[in-house]
Parts: sequence; structure tokens; C-alpha cells
Amino acid sequence: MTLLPESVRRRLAAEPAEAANFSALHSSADMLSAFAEDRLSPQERARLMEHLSMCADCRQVVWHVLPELGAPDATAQLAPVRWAFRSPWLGSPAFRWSAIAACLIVAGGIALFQRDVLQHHQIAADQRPAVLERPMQRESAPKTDSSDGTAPAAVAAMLEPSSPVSAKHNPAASTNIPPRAQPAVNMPLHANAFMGSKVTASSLNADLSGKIFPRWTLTSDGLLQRSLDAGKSWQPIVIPGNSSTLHAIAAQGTHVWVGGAAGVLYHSSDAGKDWSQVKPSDGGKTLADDVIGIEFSSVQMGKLITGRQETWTTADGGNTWQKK
Amino acid sequence: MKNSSETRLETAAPVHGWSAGLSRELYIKSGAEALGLGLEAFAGIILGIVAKFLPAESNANSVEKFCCELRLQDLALAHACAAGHERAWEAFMVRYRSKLYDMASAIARESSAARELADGLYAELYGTSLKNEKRISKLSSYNGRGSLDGWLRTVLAQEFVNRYRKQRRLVSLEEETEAGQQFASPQPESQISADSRMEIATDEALAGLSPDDRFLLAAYYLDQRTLAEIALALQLHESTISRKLHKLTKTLRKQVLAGLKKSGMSRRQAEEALQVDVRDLKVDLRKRLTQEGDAAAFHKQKVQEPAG
Repeated sequence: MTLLPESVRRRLAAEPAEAANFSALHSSADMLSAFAEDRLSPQERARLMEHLSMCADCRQVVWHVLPELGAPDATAQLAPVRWAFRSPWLGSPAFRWSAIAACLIVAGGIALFQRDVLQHHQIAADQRPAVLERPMQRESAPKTDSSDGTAPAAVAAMLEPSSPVSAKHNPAASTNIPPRAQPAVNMPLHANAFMGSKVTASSLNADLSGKIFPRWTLTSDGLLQRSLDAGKSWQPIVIPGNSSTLHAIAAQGTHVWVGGAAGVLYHSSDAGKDWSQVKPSDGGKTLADDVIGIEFSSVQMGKLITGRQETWTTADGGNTWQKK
Repeated sequence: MKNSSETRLETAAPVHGWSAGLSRELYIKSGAEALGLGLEAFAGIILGIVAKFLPAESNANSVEKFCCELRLQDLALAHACAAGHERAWEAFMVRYRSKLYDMASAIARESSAARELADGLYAELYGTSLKNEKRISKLSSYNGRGSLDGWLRTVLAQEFVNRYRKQRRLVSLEEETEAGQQFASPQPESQISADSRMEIATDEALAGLSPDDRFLLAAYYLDQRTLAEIALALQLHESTISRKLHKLTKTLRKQVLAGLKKSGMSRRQAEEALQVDVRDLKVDLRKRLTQEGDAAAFHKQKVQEPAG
């Protein structure tokens, strides 16, 4: 590492002369802990960083706090890379760029392959006969084995705009309530409620880096469940404050969206640890109809389907919505 | 039908976008009722936090989003404890009794100092000081922006840093007195004379840096932190930190050189000035860093009770 000029080091270490009460401006424990947990707004972070760049004491506090609060395997994840770049051959720029190019090619190939697989499944779903005629019925036995990804036919029927069944859908009638949603897997294109054909969930349960995300499902009673072991066992998840029946679910990595009766919609960005209720509104009108389908193609881009066949879309992770 | 307390909250709330519905929703999510904290008290706490952190002209969506991102359950626990509710204290003790000592041990690295640190904080959390005959608990200053775990750890770390800073001043004074340096004649002009051209060039080079870049340099060169630790703080990959440091240091040297040449030095003179600077670094730096807070010494030094 290049030596830093001593003059620069002296100036870095000096407290700003103009701040006579510099010590009184030390950051509060709230701001420092929120910084360590990455929970500050960009403006707040910028202001705090301005102070931290000049205050050795507050930086010391951050170093004490950070190692405990950081990702549990953060250091372990970084260590192999550190080794690689210390080796003169492996650390050369040519090798690094070649490695990046190779990874991009492999990632592109996998993405294309997955897209083809999903297109094949979608075509198969579109060609299923007599689906539109089947009445919607709740499944009597909730499935816990999520390896069989067959979606109830009624779900596909409900989503066809011209379906006579969907036109007659009465959210209030218990027999017409959508059956259990499929286990949500982290699929790049479709959420569970939209799948009309068998899907092998296991191959789609990991992202390109191999990291495994939780699986989610709703029981026939509209209760939320999560599996951390690829569907072998399921744990009930209670959303604080929710008393509504849940009908639909979608997941993207650690982001989970759950919707249900009377426009109820919840979002978790940390795989179900904390939940926040979302109230989509557009032009003064708030979503009040049953949410029967949710689709998120990415963390930002999502779509809700209601019992009245309304579609609500978001392009910013649920901060704002447009009704169609 | 709204009850009178909800109506009171809505009409009295100065925060744009606040509603009794939101208040109740947050109250239910927080579980404050089970800890003995009432709706009105809890809503007052949330309103205070919103007024502190959000601009007055924030819209309803921003207020709601901000409130939903608060650590509501931790907030309810902390403020219910601050208000003296027994159920809350029971829950707090179950959750944090031994954890607080573990946190203090991780910070102080020595059992007696850790115990002293943790006991001191417990007293402040419980509220040993009185104001208008009312007990003041440090927990009432928790705002729910980060987790309660993180906040407690930060408060412990701040107390530890404060004690170390006081101790450092006392130790330095004693050392200087023993060495007779207080009464020594002024030192002859040091090899690194305060060349104003160097300082001006350095100040100009540093002024162009972003706070993140300054933090990066301070963390690595002053605090002696590893690339992994800095990467964790800045939420970047370690290799990115390594590249940024390398680029920053090179750029700074170039800018200081350019500044020195602009002030009238020739290229050779500027490079010599910088080289001399770096050479003397080895002599001065050790002393300077020890006084300004060597990271290793920081952990290893015992925090002793100040005399008297």
C-alpha cells in the first residue's frame, strides 16, 4: 500500500478548528447504532459520515459496535477474496477481469436456461384444457411437501380475464375463496399464484451464488408458514397485528409479500423477521379489495391482482402504486 | 367509533399525515399494551421521534414509512421500562441481564472493567438520577432507529471511549510531569517544520475528498483498521476498499505534489519535500499515533478508576 504523506495524516487526525464545541457534536447512540445496522437515510448517513471522518472517538465507538452487528459470516466471506488478491499472479488485473468476464458468461447462460424452462412451463399452463370450467374450491389437505409444485387449476382459472368463473368470483363466499397458494420460491419471473403447471421448486430455490433462501407457503386456512430447510419442515409465522385471512404470497430473496382479505398487504425485507403493512393507494383510492395474487419479478417490480380483477403495479418496491 | 384518547391524539398531533388509525396500528405492532404502556403514551413517544427526525413538511406516506421502519417492539420495551412498568422490566432483565455483561466484555476485554461498565449502565438504564422527583432513565433516549441490542452496545462503547479518553489525559499529564517535560525548554525547530506551503497543499488535496473517502483514510491510517472491518462499516467489498485506498493515496500524493509546484517549488523540490516528510513519518508517527489513540493500545490499556 502506498505510504500516506505525513502532512495528510496530521491533517486527517486534527479536529476541525472552527468547531469550538466539537466534542458536544458527537453523534448520539441512536445514530451510531443505526449507522452500524445500515438503517439511516442517505442524507443522515452523509451527515454522520462527515462527522465520523473527523472524530476519532465516534469512530472508535463504531469499531466496537460493528463486529458484533455485522453479517455473521461477513469476515469469512471476505477472507477468501483477500487471499486471492494477495497472491501476485491471482491479484493481477488481467486475471481479475478475465474471472469477472467468465462469471458473467456463466451467469448469462444460466439466466437464459431458466428463462427457457419457465417459458416452457408457461406454454404448458396456457394449453391446459377445461381449466376455466372448474369451480374454485379450497384444498382440503394442506400440502407440506413443496416438491410437487402443481398449482390448483382454480388459480389459473381465476386469472383468465374472460373466465366465467373469475367473473362470478365472490370473495365473501367461503367456497369461492382461492385455494392455498403455491409455495413461493425465489423465481425471477413468476410468483406462486400465477403458476399453472408443475414446477420443481428445489432447483429454483437458490440464487446464482448458491445461497439458499427460505420457502414460504399459506395453509388452507390462510396461515403463513416458512421453511428454512427446503421444505422438509415448516414453521408458522405470525405477522404482528394481522387478523385477516391471507390469500397470496410472493418472495424475492429475503423480500416477502403477503396479501389477503380486504386489501391487507404486508412486506418483510428480512425473510419474515420484521413486517410492515403496506397500503397501496392511487389517486386517493386505497386498495380495499381482497388480494388474491401477487407477483414480484424483482425486489422493485411487482403486481397485485384483486378479487375484482384489478391490477396494482409498483416499480419501486411498494413505495408507490398504480392501479390499472 | 373513535375513543376520546384517539380523537385527542389526532387533533393535537402537529405532525402532518398522522392519524389515529396509524397510531393504533403501530401500537398493536409494538406489543406495548402487554408491557403496560398505554396508547396515548406510546403515540406521544412516536410523535416525538417523528418530529425529531422528519422535516415538518413530510407527507403522509413518508411519515407512515418512517414509523413502520422503527423498531417498534424494542421501542415499546425501552420506554415501558423508562416509565417504570414492572412487566417491561421483567422482560428486559430476561433478555438483557447476561447479554449486557457479554457486550461489555467484548468491548472492555477485561472482566473487572467489563463488569464496572455493565453495572454503571444498568444503573443509568434503571434511572438513579431524579428530575422533579421523577426518575430519569437513559432508556427514554432510545429512538428505535436501530435495534435495542445495537443501541445498548453503542452506549456501552461510548462510555468506554469516554473513560479511556479521560484516563489518557491523566496518564499523559503524569508522564509529562515525571519526565520534567512540562518545565523543559522549548524544543528546537523540528525537522518537519511547519511549512505553510505543505499544509496549504495538503488542505487543498483533502478538501476535495468526500466524507466517505476521508473516513476510509482515517480508518485505515489512523485507526489501523483492517480492510475487512472497513468494508463492513462502508457496506462495500474488501477488494473495493483496497482499490479505493490505493487510488486515494496515489491521488493525494499527486495533488499535494501539484499544490507544492503551484506554490513555487520545482518538481524536484516538491518530491524531496514529500520524501523527507515520509521519512520523518517513521520517527514522529509512532509517538503521534500513541498519543492520538493507537487502536491496539486502546484495547489493551486498563480503564482505571480516576483518582478521587
